[in-house]
Amino acid sequence: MDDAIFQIYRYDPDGDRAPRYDRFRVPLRRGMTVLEVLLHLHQWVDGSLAFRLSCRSAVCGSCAMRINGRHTLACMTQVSEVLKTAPIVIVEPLENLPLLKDLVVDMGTFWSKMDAVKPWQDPTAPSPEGERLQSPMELDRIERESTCIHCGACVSSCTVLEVDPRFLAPAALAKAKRHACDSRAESAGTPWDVLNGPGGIWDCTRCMECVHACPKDVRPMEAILELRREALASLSGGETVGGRHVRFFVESVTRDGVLDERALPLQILRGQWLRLFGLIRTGIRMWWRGKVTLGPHHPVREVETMRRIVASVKEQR
Amino acid sequence: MSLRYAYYPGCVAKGNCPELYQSMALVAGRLGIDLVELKKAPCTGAGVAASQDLLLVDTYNALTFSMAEEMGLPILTICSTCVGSMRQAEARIKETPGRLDQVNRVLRDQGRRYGGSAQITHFLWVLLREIGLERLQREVRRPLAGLRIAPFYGCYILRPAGIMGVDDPDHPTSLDRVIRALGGEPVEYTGKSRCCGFPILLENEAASLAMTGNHLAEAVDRGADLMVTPCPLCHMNLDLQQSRAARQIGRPLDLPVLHLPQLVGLALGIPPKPLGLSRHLVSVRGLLKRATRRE
Repeated sequence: MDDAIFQIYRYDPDGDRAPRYDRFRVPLRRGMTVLEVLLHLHQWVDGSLAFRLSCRSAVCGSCAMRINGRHTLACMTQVSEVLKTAPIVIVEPLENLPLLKDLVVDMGTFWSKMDAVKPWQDPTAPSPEGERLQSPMELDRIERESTCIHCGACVSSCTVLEVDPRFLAPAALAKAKRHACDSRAESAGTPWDVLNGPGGIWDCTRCMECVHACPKDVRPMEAILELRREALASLSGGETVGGRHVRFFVESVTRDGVLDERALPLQILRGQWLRLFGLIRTGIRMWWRGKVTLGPHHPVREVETMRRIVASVKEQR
Repeated sequence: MSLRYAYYPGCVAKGNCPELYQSMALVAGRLGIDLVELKKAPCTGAGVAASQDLLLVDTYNALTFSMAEEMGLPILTICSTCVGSMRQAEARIKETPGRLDQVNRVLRDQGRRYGGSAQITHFLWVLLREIGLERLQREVRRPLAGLRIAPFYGCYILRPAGIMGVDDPDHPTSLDRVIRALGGEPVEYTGKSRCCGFPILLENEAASLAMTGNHLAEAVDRGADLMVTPCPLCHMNLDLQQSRAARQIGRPLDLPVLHLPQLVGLALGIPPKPLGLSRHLVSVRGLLKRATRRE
């Protein structure tokens, strides 16, 4: 097999003035993974190259990094696959977490956010007489999130975390869902005030970066949506801005078949005058440009059908 | 070959961005795309309703799919969020055991039935796959030569890759290729496949505006003259909120943002006015001057 060119991010905050990329030419073996290349370089070319690894088989979650822009595990990425769409392999550390050295990041906030969602059963609850049984269907509901290996790829890919460090981010929120939706968890200590608060479930943009990044197909965003449905169905989520947004949206579509875009912000931000003022100013500029008119909102379409569908779906529950 | 579609413009094209609806009608005429509008079709749920009730979302969409099936036509939309929501619903209905029966139990009461054969596409993909870039290039009357154009894909047309299936979400190229076929020069920047921030404009305004601002700033720094997007919801943040985004990140931006049919229309030689270019909040006047100077 041919050689491959690797371009690897290097930075040691203790000694280097600025980050740099080192280029290496690596002889390839058939089936070689990016992690094996890093090991080769560490052993034979540059012993100062820092990266994390343990199991080498996509179970421990240690070797998450960015490979040609993709947030993934080095041990499950074949070099030959990467080279199908790019001339060289660019290896960089995870984003959204502080850098320690080269490809190693500080996972501190990853774990502190995990703690913040209290991912455990409440130990003060009385013990049951026998085992806590669970049906296969009940297990299905939390199985996906249970397979998380805490690698941080989703956190690295998160678009909200990039601009708001408070965001609990996909991994911790998926973990929260795994506990909140556990059928044995009548006493789960899920902190709904934290999940409904700033940086919680309602701050997710639903961009699906985490779904795309996750090497174990945990689909964290779907877990976040499940938490929202829980929060709306039974708990306090309805009075958050995000909860009001969803409820108004569904009500509007049920009523008219199509969303009343102009009424939505007015309803959701009612009472928040300063914020409303900003949006109303944009609205006036839109009217001036002929983008919106002042006429009534036009319902579509099979409105009666929509209302009956909603009623019928409710009946099915 | 005539191209005929059940047309689903989406609420934004008929609400906050009427210039999108209007420009698509003109461009479709030029390219020989026959659009039969689904006037009775409901909202797709736009990713928002999924936070309340997935069965409801699937049933809304199955209703739309049944209408298109009745017409015997594939669905075409000009909204990435709509194409994403519809494709996700279609995949859930197909893959979840019993789901098709479940939605049909609801639809039956309304005298409708979804047969499970919906085909859903976006104008961008039609350009690429049905019209073809070679023909598109031949149709160009006013090439966008010399214009540096930043493609903004947004989320819903890319992810999840398994359901959308056209672009590699890490390195999308479809919009770049269309820009090149129209004679423009695509600008490479990392923000092109990221989120515009619009879905949390009300929930977390600072984060939403920072996301939009950062992508616009990156495009400006890479020398973009304008940005183009296939998603009107992205457009609502990138254009409507641009001045506030500039304040949020503390630097001027002033980058015109066009809808995809507007960009295609300009290159096909349709005058700016009927394309609704004057309706954007970020003025395109400077851009048009530059474009004509280069002609």
